[in-house]
Amino acid sequence: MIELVRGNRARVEFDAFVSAHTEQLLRTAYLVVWDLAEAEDLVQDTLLRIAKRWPRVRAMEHPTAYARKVLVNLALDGSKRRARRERELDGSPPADRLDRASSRALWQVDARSELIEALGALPPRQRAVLVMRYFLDLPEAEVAAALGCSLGTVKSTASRGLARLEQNLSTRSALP
Amino acid sequence: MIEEHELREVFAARAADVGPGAVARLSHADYRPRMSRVGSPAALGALAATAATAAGVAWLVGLGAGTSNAFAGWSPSPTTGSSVQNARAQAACAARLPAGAHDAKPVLSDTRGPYTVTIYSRAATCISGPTFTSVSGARATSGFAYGGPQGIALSGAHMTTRDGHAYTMVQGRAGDDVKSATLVLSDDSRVKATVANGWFAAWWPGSHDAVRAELATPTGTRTQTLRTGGPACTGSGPCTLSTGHGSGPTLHTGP
Repeated sequence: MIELVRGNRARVEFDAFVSAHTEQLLRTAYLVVWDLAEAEDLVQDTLLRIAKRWPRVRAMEHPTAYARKVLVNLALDGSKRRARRERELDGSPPADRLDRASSRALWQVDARSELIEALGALPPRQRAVLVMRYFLDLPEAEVAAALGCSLGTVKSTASRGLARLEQNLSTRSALP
Repeated sequence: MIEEHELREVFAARAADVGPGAVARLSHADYRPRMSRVGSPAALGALAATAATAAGVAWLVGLGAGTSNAFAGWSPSPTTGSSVQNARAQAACAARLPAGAHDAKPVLSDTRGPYTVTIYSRAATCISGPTFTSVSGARATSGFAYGGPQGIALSGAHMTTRDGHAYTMVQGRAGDDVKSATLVLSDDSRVKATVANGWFAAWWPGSHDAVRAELATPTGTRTQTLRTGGPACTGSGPCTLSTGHGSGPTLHTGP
Protein backbone atom coordinates (compact mmCIF):
# COMPACT_ATOMS: atom_id res chain seq x y z
CA MET A 1 0.00 0.00 0.00
CA ILE A 2 2.84 2.34 0.85
CA GLU A 3 4.46 1.58 -2.50
CA LEU A 4 1.17 2.31 -4.24
CA VAL A 5 0.86 5.65 -2.51
CA ARG A 6 4.45 6.47 -3.40
CA GLY A 7 3.80 5.46 -6.99
CA ASN A 8 0.71 7.60 -7.21
CA ARG A 9 2.52 10.54 -5.71
CA ALA A 10 5.39 10.16 -8.15
CA ARG A 11 2.97 9.99 -11.02
CA VAL A 12 1.19 13.11 -9.90
CA GLU A 13 4.49 14.90 -9.57
CA PHE A 14 5.59 13.76 -13.01
CA ASP A 15 2.31 14.90 -14.53
CA ALA A 16 2.76 18.25 -12.85
CA PHE A 17 6.29 18.46 -14.23
CA VAL A 18 5.04 17.73 -17.73
CA SER A 19 2.25 20.23 -17.40
CA ALA A 20 4.57 22.95 -16.15
CA HIS A 21 7.48 22.50 -18.52
CA THR A 22 6.27 21.06 -21.81
CA GLU A 23 5.63 24.40 -23.44
CA GLN A 24 9.06 25.79 -22.62
CA LEU A 25 10.75 22.56 -23.65
CA LEU A 26 8.89 22.59 -26.93
CA ARG A 27 9.75 26.20 -27.64
CA THR A 28 13.38 25.53 -26.82
CA ALA A 29 13.46 22.44 -29.00
CA TYR A 30 11.82 24.30 -31.85
CA LEU A 31 14.40 27.07 -31.71
CA VAL A 32 17.28 24.63 -31.59
CA VAL A 33 16.19 22.32 -34.40
CA TRP A 34 14.16 24.94 -36.29
CA ASP A 35 11.41 22.49 -37.16
CA LEU A 36 8.22 22.03 -35.20
CA ALA A 37 7.54 18.40 -36.03
CA GLU A 38 11.09 17.50 -35.12
CA ALA A 39 10.78 19.54 -31.95
CA GLU A 40 7.67 17.64 -30.90
CA ASP A 41 9.54 14.43 -31.49
CA LEU A 42 12.41 15.60 -29.34
CA VAL A 43 10.18 16.65 -26.48
CA GLN A 44 8.49 13.27 -26.53
CA ASP A 45 11.84 11.52 -26.38
CA THR A 46 12.96 13.78 -23.58
CA LEU A 47 9.84 13.23 -21.50
CA LEU A 48 9.95 9.49 -22.11
CA ARG A 49 13.50 9.38 -20.81
CA ILE A 50 12.61 11.46 -17.82
CA ALA A 51 9.59 9.29 -17.09
CA LYS A 52 11.81 6.21 -16.99
CA ARG A 53 14.18 7.91 -14.56
CA TRP A 54 11.64 9.96 -12.70
CA PRO A 55 12.45 8.65 -9.20
CA ARG A 56 16.01 9.88 -9.68
CA VAL A 57 15.11 13.02 -11.59
CA ARG A 58 12.57 14.19 -9.01
CA ALA A 59 15.24 13.94 -6.34
CA MET A 60 17.54 16.25 -8.27
CA GLU A 61 18.01 19.82 -7.18
CA HIS A 62 17.10 21.09 -10.65
CA PRO A 63 14.96 18.61 -12.63
CA THR A 64 14.27 21.30 -15.20
CA ALA A 65 17.96 21.74 -15.92
CA TYR A 66 18.27 18.00 -16.37
CA ALA A 67 15.35 17.95 -18.79
CA ARG A 68 16.92 20.79 -20.76
CA LYS A 69 20.21 18.93 -20.90
CA VAL A 70 18.55 15.77 -22.21
CA LEU A 71 16.59 17.77 -24.77
CA VAL A 72 19.50 19.77 -26.13
CA ASN A 73 21.79 16.79 -26.37
CA LEU A 74 19.14 14.72 -28.14
CA ALA A 75 18.66 17.62 -30.54
CA LEU A 76 22.35 17.93 -31.30
CA ASP A 77 22.85 14.18 -31.60
CA GLY A 78 19.97 13.97 -34.03
CA SER A 79 20.89 16.93 -36.20
CA LYS A 80 22.66 14.85 -38.85
CA ARG A 81 19.88 12.30 -38.95
CA ARG A 82 17.37 15.08 -39.26
CA ALA A 83 19.25 16.65 -42.11
CA ARG A 84 19.02 13.41 -44.03
CA ARG A 85 15.29 13.21 -43.48
CA GLU A 86 14.60 16.64 -44.77
CA ARG A 87 14.07 16.24 -48.47
CA GLU A 88 12.93 19.50 -49.80
CA LEU A 89 15.47 18.97 -52.57
CA ASP A 90 16.24 22.58 -53.14
CA GLY A 91 19.95 22.03 -52.91
CA SER A 92 20.78 25.10 -54.91
CA PRO A 93 21.25 23.65 -58.37
CA PRO A 94 22.60 26.01 -60.99
CA ALA A 95 20.44 29.07 -61.17
CA ASP A 96 18.44 29.54 -64.30
CA ARG A 97 16.46 32.15 -65.99
CA LEU A 98 13.05 31.06 -64.78
CA ASP A 99 12.76 31.95 -61.18
CA ARG A 100 15.71 33.99 -60.15
CA ALA A 101 13.92 37.28 -59.94
CA SER A 102 10.73 35.98 -58.42
CA SER A 103 12.38 33.95 -55.70
CA ARG A 104 14.55 36.86 -54.76
CA ALA A 105 11.54 39.10 -54.58
CA LEU A 106 9.73 36.67 -52.34
CA TRP A 107 12.43 36.91 -49.77
CA GLN A 108 12.85 40.64 -49.74
CA VAL A 109 11.34 40.85 -46.33
CA ASP A 110 11.92 42.87 -43.26
CA ALA A 111 15.02 42.79 -41.14
CA ARG A 112 13.50 40.53 -38.53
CA SER A 113 12.74 37.91 -41.14
CA GLU A 114 16.28 38.23 -42.44
CA LEU A 115 17.60 37.57 -38.96
CA ILE A 116 15.26 34.62 -38.53
CA GLU A 117 16.53 33.16 -41.78
CA ALA A 118 20.11 33.75 -40.76
CA LEU A 119 19.50 32.03 -37.42
CA GLY A 120 17.97 29.10 -39.21
CA ALA A 121 21.14 28.71 -41.24
CA LEU A 122 23.38 28.43 -38.19
CA PRO A 123 24.83 25.07 -37.18
CA PRO A 124 22.56 23.57 -34.50
CA ARG A 125 25.21 23.72 -31.78
CA GLN A 126 25.83 27.42 -32.27
CA ARG A 127 22.10 28.06 -32.40
CA ALA A 128 21.59 26.00 -29.23
CA VAL A 129 24.05 28.17 -27.35
CA LEU A 130 22.38 31.36 -28.55
CA VAL A 131 18.95 30.00 -27.69
CA MET A 132 19.99 29.15 -24.18
CA ARG A 133 21.73 32.49 -23.69
CA TYR A 134 19.18 34.81 -25.29
CA PHE A 135 15.89 32.95 -25.22
CA LEU A 136 16.17 31.10 -21.93
CA ASP A 137 18.43 33.77 -20.42
CA LEU A 138 20.67 31.16 -18.86
CA PRO A 139 24.04 32.15 -17.49
CA GLU A 140 26.99 30.74 -19.38
CA ALA A 141 27.72 28.27 -16.60
CA GLU A 142 24.28 26.67 -17.00
CA VAL A 143 24.70 26.53 -20.75
CA ALA A 144 28.00 24.77 -20.21
CA ALA A 145 26.33 22.31 -17.86
CA ALA A 146 23.58 21.59 -20.36
CA LEU A 147 26.06 20.93 -23.14
CA GLY A 148 28.58 19.15 -20.97
CA CYS A 149 31.37 21.46 -22.03
CA SER A 150 33.58 24.15 -20.52
CA LEU A 151 32.70 27.77 -19.97
CA GLY A 152 35.31 28.73 -22.53
CA THR A 153 33.70 26.51 -25.14
CA VAL A 154 30.34 28.16 -24.53
CA LYS A 155 31.88 31.60 -24.96
CA SER A 156 33.74 30.69 -28.12
CA THR A 157 30.71 28.90 -29.59
CA ALA A 158 28.51 31.91 -28.89
CA SER A 159 31.10 34.21 -30.38
CA ARG A 160 31.41 32.12 -33.52
CA GLY A 161 27.65 31.92 -33.79
CA LEU A 162 27.23 35.67 -33.62
CA ALA A 163 30.03 36.18 -36.14
CA ARG A 164 28.40 33.74 -38.50
CA LEU A 165 25.06 35.45 -38.07
CA GLU A 166 26.66 38.74 -39.05
CA GLN A 167 28.26 37.07 -42.02
CA ASN A 168 24.99 35.48 -43.12
CA LEU A 169 23.21 38.80 -42.88
CA SER A 170 25.94 40.58 -44.80
CA THR A 171 25.80 37.99 -47.54
CA ARG A 172 22.05 38.38 -47.81
CA SER A 173 22.15 42.13 -47.94
CA ALA A 174 24.88 41.99 -50.59
CA LEU A 175 22.64 40.07 -53.00
CA PRO A 176 21.71 42.28 -55.94
CA MET B 1 26.29 44.49 -35.25
CA ILE B 2 23.50 42.34 -33.88
CA GLU B 3 22.16 43.57 -30.57
CA GLU B 4 21.18 41.19 -27.79
CA HIS B 5 17.68 42.61 -27.66
CA GLU B 6 17.25 41.84 -31.36
CA LEU B 7 18.10 38.21 -30.73
CA ARG B 8 15.72 38.05 -27.81
CA GLU B 9 12.92 39.56 -29.88
CA VAL B 10 13.51 37.27 -32.81
CA PHE B 11 13.67 34.16 -30.68
CA ALA B 12 10.48 35.19 -28.90
CA ALA B 13 8.74 35.83 -32.22
CA ARG B 14 9.86 32.52 -33.61
CA ALA B 15 8.89 30.65 -30.43
CA ALA B 16 5.40 32.06 -30.78
CA ASP B 17 4.95 29.64 -33.71
CA VAL B 18 4.47 26.94 -31.10
CA GLY B 19 0.74 26.73 -30.73
CA PRO B 20 -1.36 25.41 -27.88
CA GLY B 21 -2.32 22.37 -29.93
CA ALA B 22 1.20 21.00 -29.99
CA VAL B 23 1.68 21.70 -26.30
CA ALA B 24 -1.60 19.99 -25.48
CA ARG B 25 -0.71 16.93 -27.56
CA LEU B 26 2.56 16.53 -25.74
CA SER B 27 1.17 17.36 -22.32
CA HIS B 28 -1.59 14.80 -22.58
CA ALA B 29 0.53 11.95 -23.87
CA ASP B 30 1.10 9.07 -21.53
CA TYR B 31 4.81 8.69 -20.94
CA ARG B 32 4.61 5.68 -18.68
CA PRO B 33 6.63 2.69 -19.90
CA ARG B 34 5.03 0.51 -22.57
CA MET B 35 2.39 3.09 -23.35
CA SER B 36 2.08 4.35 -26.89
CA ARG B 37 3.46 7.66 -27.91
CA VAL B 38 1.50 10.41 -29.52
CA GLY B 39 1.92 10.51 -33.26
CA SER B 40 4.24 13.29 -34.19
CA PRO B 41 4.60 13.91 -37.90
CA ALA B 42 8.36 13.55 -37.84
CA ALA B 43 8.44 10.33 -35.90
CA LEU B 44 5.74 8.72 -37.91
CA GLY B 45 7.21 9.98 -41.12
CA ALA B 46 10.40 8.12 -40.42
CA LEU B 47 8.42 5.10 -39.30
CA ALA B 48 6.32 5.19 -42.41
CA ALA B 49 9.38 5.33 -44.62
CA THR B 50 10.90 2.36 -42.84
CA ALA B 51 7.69 0.40 -42.94
CA ALA B 52 7.18 1.17 -46.58
CA THR B 53 10.66 -0.03 -47.40
CA ALA B 54 10.26 -3.19 -45.42
CA ALA B 55 6.75 -4.08 -46.52
CA GLY B 56 5.75 -1.96 -49.43
CA VAL B 57 2.87 -4.08 -50.62
CA ALA B 58 1.20 -4.20 -47.24
CA TRP B 59 1.60 -0.46 -46.97
CA LEU B 60 -0.02 0.04 -50.33
CA VAL B 61 -3.00 -2.04 -49.38
CA GLY B 62 -3.51 0.07 -46.32
CA LEU B 63 -3.07 3.45 -47.86
CA GLY B 64 -3.06 3.42 -51.61
CA ALA B 65 -5.55 4.13 -54.32
CA GLY B 66 -7.58 6.52 -52.28
CA THR B 67 -9.18 3.83 -50.22
CA SER B 68 -7.63 4.86 -46.94
CA ASN B 69 -10.02 6.24 -44.40
CA ALA B 70 -7.31 8.71 -43.47
CA PHE B 71 -7.64 10.35 -46.87
CA ALA B 72 -11.23 9.57 -47.69
CA GLY B 73 -12.36 11.31 -50.82
CA TRP B 74 -8.89 11.61 -52.35
CA SER B 75 -8.81 11.00 -56.08
CA PRO B 76 -5.92 10.22 -58.44
CA SER B 77 -7.10 12.99 -60.76
CA PRO B 78 -7.65 16.59 -59.74
CA THR B 79 -11.20 17.64 -59.06
CA THR B 80 -12.89 21.00 -59.03
CA GLY B 81 -13.27 22.46 -55.58
CA SER B 82 -16.18 24.60 -54.52
CA SER B 83 -15.56 28.26 -53.97
CA VAL B 84 -16.18 27.73 -50.27
CA GLN B 85 -13.58 24.96 -50.10
CA ASN B 86 -11.04 27.00 -51.99
CA ALA B 87 -11.59 30.07 -49.86
CA ARG B 88 -11.38 28.08 -46.66
CA ALA B 89 -8.14 26.41 -47.79
CA GLN B 90 -6.56 29.68 -48.79
CA ALA B 91 -7.43 31.29 -45.49
CA ALA B 92 -6.19 28.33 -43.46
CA CYS B 93 -2.94 28.19 -45.39
CA ALA B 94 -2.31 31.91 -45.33
CA ALA B 95 -2.64 31.91 -41.56
CA ARG B 96 0.07 29.31 -41.22
CA LEU B 97 2.67 30.48 -43.69
CA PRO B 98 6.14 30.44 -42.16
CA ALA B 99 8.05 33.54 -41.27
CA GLY B 100 9.54 35.02 -44.40
CA ALA B 101 6.77 33.75 -46.61
CA HIS B 102 3.87 35.89 -45.48
CA ASP B 103 3.92 37.83 -48.72
CA ALA B 104 4.10 34.75 -50.91
CA LYS B 105 1.32 34.41 -53.45
CA PRO B 106 -0.22 31.09 -54.44
CA VAL B 107 0.81 29.96 -57.92
CA LEU B 108 -1.16 26.74 -58.11
CA SER B 109 -3.98 24.93 -56.35
CA ASP B 110 -4.48 21.19 -56.62
CA THR B 111 -7.85 19.90 -55.44
CA ARG B 112 -8.63 16.24 -54.87
CA GLY B 113 -11.99 15.74 -53.24
CA PRO B 114 -11.98 17.59 -49.93
CA TYR B 115 -8.22 18.27 -50.02
CA THR B 116 -6.62 21.36 -51.45
CA VAL B 117 -2.89 21.73 -51.98
CA THR B 118 -1.62 25.25 -52.53
CA ILE B 119 1.84 25.96 -53.88
CA TYR B 120 3.40 29.27 -52.92
CA SER B 121 6.16 29.39 -55.50
CA ARG B 122 9.39 28.48 -53.74
CA ALA B 123 8.24 29.70 -50.37
CA ALA B 124 5.88 27.07 -49.04
CA THR B 125 3.47 24.28 -49.81
CA CYS B 126 0.19 23.87 -47.96
CA ILE B 127 -2.26 21.01 -47.79
CA SER B 128 -5.65 21.62 -46.29
CA GLY B 129 -8.20 18.91 -45.60
CA PRO B 130 -11.47 18.63 -43.76
CA THR B 131 -9.78 18.38 -40.36
CA PHE B 132 -6.26 19.64 -40.80
CA THR B 133 -3.93 22.08 -42.49
CA SER B 134 -0.19 21.58 -42.81
CA VAL B 135 2.36 23.94 -44.25
CA SER B 136 5.83 22.96 -45.37
CA GLY B 137 8.32 25.75 -45.72
CA ALA B 138 11.09 25.86 -48.27
CA ARG B 139 14.38 27.61 -47.90
CA ALA B 140 15.12 30.48 -50.22
CA THR B 141 17.44 29.76 -53.09
CA SER B 142 18.51 31.92 -55.95
CA GLY B 143 16.78 29.73 -58.48
CA PHE B 144 16.28 26.16 -59.48
CA ALA B 145 16.48 23.88 -62.41
CA TYR B 146 14.62 24.27 -65.63
CA GLY B 147 13.27 21.10 -67.18
CA GLY B 148 12.91 22.53 -70.68
CA PRO B 149 9.72 23.58 -72.46
CA GLN B 150 8.55 19.98 -72.76
CA GLY B 151 9.74 18.80 -69.39
CA ILE B 152 9.11 19.16 -65.71
CA ALA B 153 11.54 20.07 -62.98
CA LEU B 154 11.12 19.16 -59.36
CA SER B 155 11.35 21.83 -56.73
CA GLY B 156 10.13 19.81 -53.78
CA ALA B 157 9.20 16.28 -52.85
CA HIS B 158 8.58 14.77 -49.52
CA MET B 159 6.66 12.10 -47.74
CA THR B 160 5.01 12.92 -44.48
CA THR B 161 2.17 11.63 -42.36
CA ARG B 162 -1.16 12.65 -41.03
CA ASP B 163 -2.50 10.75 -38.03
CA GLY B 164 -0.01 8.03 -38.76
CA HIS B 165 -0.94 7.68 -42.43
CA ALA B 166 1.67 8.48 -45.00
CA TYR B 167 1.22 10.68 -48.01
CA THR B 168 3.68 11.84 -50.63
CA MET B 169 3.72 15.15 -52.38
CA VAL B 170 5.71 16.47 -55.31
CA GLN B 171 5.74 19.84 -56.97
CA GLY B 172 7.82 21.85 -59.36
CA ARG B 173 7.95 23.74 -62.61
CA ALA B 174 6.37 22.60 -65.84
CA GLY B 175 7.58 23.72 -69.22
CA ASP B 176 5.35 25.89 -71.35
CA ASP B 177 4.52 23.01 -73.69
CA VAL B 178 3.44 20.62 -70.95
CA LYS B 179 -0.34 20.48 -71.09
CA SER B 180 -0.82 17.68 -68.61
CA ALA B 181 1.33 15.38 -66.52
CA THR B 182 0.56 11.94 -65.20
CA LEU B 183 2.94 10.50 -62.64
CA VAL B 184 3.51 6.76 -62.57
CA LEU B 185 4.31 5.50 -59.10
CA SER B 186 6.53 2.64 -58.09
CA ASP B 187 3.47 0.42 -57.65
CA ASP B 188 2.39 1.21 -61.23
CA SER B 189 -0.53 3.29 -60.09
CA ARG B 190 -1.05 6.65 -61.78
CA VAL B 191 -1.68 10.07 -60.37
CA LYS B 192 -2.57 12.95 -62.61
CA ALA B 193 -0.90 16.17 -61.59
CA THR B 194 -2.40 19.61 -61.69
CA VAL B 195 -0.52 21.74 -64.22
CA ALA B 196 -1.04 25.48 -64.27
CA ASN B 197 0.91 28.70 -64.52
CA GLY B 198 4.14 26.88 -65.31
CA TRP B 199 3.86 24.71 -62.19
CA PHE B 200 2.77 21.19 -61.42
CA ALA B 201 1.77 19.47 -58.19
CA ALA B 202 0.40 16.12 -57.12
CA TRP B 203 0.10 14.07 -53.99
CA TRP B 204 -1.10 10.65 -53.08
CA PRO B 205 -1.71 8.54 -50.01
CA GLY B 206 1.17 6.24 -49.18
CA SER B 207 4.89 6.45 -49.60
CA HIS B 208 5.46 5.21 -53.12
CA ASP B 209 7.84 7.23 -55.22
CA ALA B 210 7.01 8.65 -58.61
CA VAL B 211 9.16 6.75 -61.11
CA ARG B 212 8.21 8.44 -64.36
CA ALA B 213 6.01 11.14 -65.79
CA GLU B 214 3.90 10.98 -68.92
CA LEU B 215 3.73 14.48 -70.31
CA ALA B 216 1.21 15.60 -72.90
CA THR B 217 2.79 18.15 -75.23
CA PRO B 218 1.79 19.59 -78.62
CA THR B 219 4.08 17.09 -80.31
CA GLY B 220 2.68 14.07 -78.50
CA THR B 221 3.11 12.25 -75.24
CA ARG B 222 6.59 12.30 -73.81
CA THR B 223 7.81 10.05 -71.04
CA GLN B 224 10.24 11.45 -68.55
CA THR B 225 12.06 9.04 -66.31
CA LEU B 226 12.08 9.86 -62.66
CA ARG B 227 14.79 8.05 -60.77
CA THR B 228 14.57 8.00 -57.01
CA GLY B 229 17.65 8.80 -55.04
CA GLY B 230 19.37 10.52 -57.93
CA PRO B 231 20.43 14.11 -58.21
CA ALA B 232 17.85 16.84 -58.55
CA CYS B 233 17.04 18.17 -61.98
CA THR B 234 19.83 20.42 -63.06
CA GLY B 235 19.53 21.01 -66.76
CA SER B 236 17.45 21.09 -69.85
CA GLY B 237 18.04 17.44 -70.78
CA PRO B 238 15.96 14.51 -69.59
CA CYS B 239 15.09 15.35 -66.06
CA THR B 240 15.82 13.10 -63.14
CA LEU B 241 13.51 13.77 -60.28
CA SER B 242 14.93 12.91 -56.96
CA THR B 243 12.10 12.09 -54.68
CA GLY B 244 12.83 11.14 -51.15
CA HIS B 245 11.35 9.95 -47.95
CA GLY B 246 11.36 12.22 -45.00
CA SER B 247 9.06 14.12 -42.81
CA GLY B 248 9.71 17.34 -44.64
CA PRO B 249 10.05 20.56 -42.79
CA THR B 250 6.51 20.83 -41.53
CA LEU B 251 6.36 24.10 -39.74
CA HIS B 252 2.79 24.35 -38.63
CA THR B 253 0.11 21.79 -38.19
CA GLY B 254 -3.24 22.64 -36.79
CA PRO B 255 -6.80 21.54 -36.70
